[in-house]
Amino acid sequence: MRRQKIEDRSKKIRGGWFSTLLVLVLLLSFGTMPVSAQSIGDVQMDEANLYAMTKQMGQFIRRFNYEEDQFGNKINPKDPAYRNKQKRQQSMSILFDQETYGNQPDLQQYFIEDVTANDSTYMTFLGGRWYSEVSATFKYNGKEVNLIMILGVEKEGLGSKWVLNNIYFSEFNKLFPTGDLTEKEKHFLHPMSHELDFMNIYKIFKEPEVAEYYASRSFEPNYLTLFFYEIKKGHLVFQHVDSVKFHVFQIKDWYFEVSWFNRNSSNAGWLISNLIYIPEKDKKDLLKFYEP
Amino acid sequence: MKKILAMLAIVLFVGNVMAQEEEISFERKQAIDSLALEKVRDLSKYIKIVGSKETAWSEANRVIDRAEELFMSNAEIGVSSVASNNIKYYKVRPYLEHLMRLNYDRVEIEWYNIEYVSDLQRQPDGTYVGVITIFQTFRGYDKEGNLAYKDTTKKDITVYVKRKETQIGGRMIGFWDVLLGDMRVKETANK
Amino acid sequence: MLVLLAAFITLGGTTSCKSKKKLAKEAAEAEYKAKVSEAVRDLTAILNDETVWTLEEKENRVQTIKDWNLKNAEVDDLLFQVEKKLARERAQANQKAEEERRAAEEAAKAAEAARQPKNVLEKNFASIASSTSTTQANRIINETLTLFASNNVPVLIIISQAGGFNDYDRPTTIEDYLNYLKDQKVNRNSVYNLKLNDDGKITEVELIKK
Repeated sequence: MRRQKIEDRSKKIRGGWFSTLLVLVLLLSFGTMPVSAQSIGDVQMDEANLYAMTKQMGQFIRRFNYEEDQFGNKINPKDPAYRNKQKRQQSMSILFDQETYGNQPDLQQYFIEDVTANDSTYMTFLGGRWYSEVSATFKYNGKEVNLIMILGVEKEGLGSKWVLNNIYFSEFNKLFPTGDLTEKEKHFLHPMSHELDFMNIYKIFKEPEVAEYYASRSFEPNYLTLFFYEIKKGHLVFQHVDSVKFHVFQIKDWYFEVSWFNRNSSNAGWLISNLIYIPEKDKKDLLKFYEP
Repeated sequence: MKKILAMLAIVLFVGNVMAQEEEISFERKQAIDSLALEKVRDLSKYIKIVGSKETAWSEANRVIDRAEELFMSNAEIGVSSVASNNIKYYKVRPYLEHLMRLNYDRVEIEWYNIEYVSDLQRQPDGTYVGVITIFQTFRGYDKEGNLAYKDTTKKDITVYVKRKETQIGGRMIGFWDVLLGDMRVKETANK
Repeated sequence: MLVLLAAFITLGGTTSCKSKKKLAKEAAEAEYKAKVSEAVRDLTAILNDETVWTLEEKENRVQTIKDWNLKNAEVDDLLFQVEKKLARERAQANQKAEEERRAAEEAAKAAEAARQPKNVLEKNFASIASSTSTTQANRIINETLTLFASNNVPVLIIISQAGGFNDYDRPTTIEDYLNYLKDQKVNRNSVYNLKLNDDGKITEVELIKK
């Protein structure tokens, strides 16, 4: 009932073009350069602001769950204050970029109410479905290019590690455009080709830009493989990281993006820069990009 | 039957030991956090001593040795400024020596009273990894006593915590080996 | 006649006897009076703190006067007052003596304790951490090292006793630890346990977080 209400209100906010906007927003964030360099702006920054700043992504998680007090002291899980519902409700707004969500108090409020409801959800480090987007500069055939690496936390041995899940690189995407269906339908090897010793197979290679049309329906280009290939061939050379952000799908029916806000204010550090209501069933397709 | 029971007992025992290894009580975790924080504070103090122009050269070198001992052997310090995203990598010793040789007449290094200690996560080999965030203000003065350079940096320091045992005086001593790892220093322009 | 004589003699004797007794009585009376006045003088002086006598001398004096057993109302009254006064003074004196004895005992104990290696260490740790110059710190470090069997004596630091067992920091050596105090200028640990060899030199140090 409550979820329905949130969904309805959320839909109202988003209008009818939910999926288009969502994909656009997610993809746009890749194309754009970092919001700001990751540095502490001003030396004048006072201590109160440094306390308020969400200094680590881990602090974001602890604040989200209310597992630490306002000074960053960890709360004993036996303490009634630990994950306290009221305190969570009261303090969660500090995790939003108020320059964006100060103007959208409704969405922020629905989110807070929903995640602190009785069937409350907590974010955990090893809970899966949260990813890091590392935007980096590489040299591709001698030219500086921007490339995005998607990393995820994978359990291994006695602990866990960050692993490369996917790559977004425009040069790779250009190689595999979403082709026109009628054009696609023109490219195939007829079913009796085998009887002619596949004498027609040269057609696949005559037009390399559409070579993949001759692949099985289940074919999906694997950008990570391409990436490693280019690295191994020495065509792609790492330069430096430009920015880092996080995409969190772990919370039931919500997606949010966490970015670094470098400013001398009590609303700084790792904050929610984008929040979208997405029912669980709709997350599946989106997750294909983050965890192919 | 007896054999099976004995086997079962061994399995249970081993399982129990492993569970113990994995579940560290809140109080013990707090003690480990404080220990890690202490190492970072020690480093802060060493940086202050090395940076101070009043420290004799031989004394500074001895302190650099001690500071180096706080780190894993392969630890790196990645420094970036507001002007460039490019991270400059230093090994610990050259980083501290660079600090010792800075061409200011007087140097002030202050640490903010804010220290943030992350949760400890285990890496695949079982070693715990955490990050401690601290903030520092650096001021360099020229011969005339004028402020020549000033910045505030956020330092994110990796902390590795490993349970180890050693024999001392004929008995086994279980201890937490805390070593600092890579340190990310985000420098900013003086404004 | 004989009877008369005898009577006379007797009488005469009696007469002579009587006068001797009288003399004696007078002498006794004089002596008594002298003692009374002496007693009154001394007791009044004691009462008014006009003597230079020690408490003991005063007590002896009072005892002497009491032994005279003068049965004089004035003296008895004075005695009563003086005895009360002296009893008070005696109590005070005893208390003071007891306090002094205790203080001396404690001072001796403290002096002994200060010589205990544990306390010497505590004191030196604090002095090194709070020393104002490297030279001063180094001097105390060298002095402290003489208490140890070697500069490499292991130092164990207990960071937690939660769960009923000791969690330690990475073991270090006494020389490194003393230099650590000098550099960090913070004395975070207290001495928990020491092991000594037959020569009284320390062979192992166990510290605990304050």
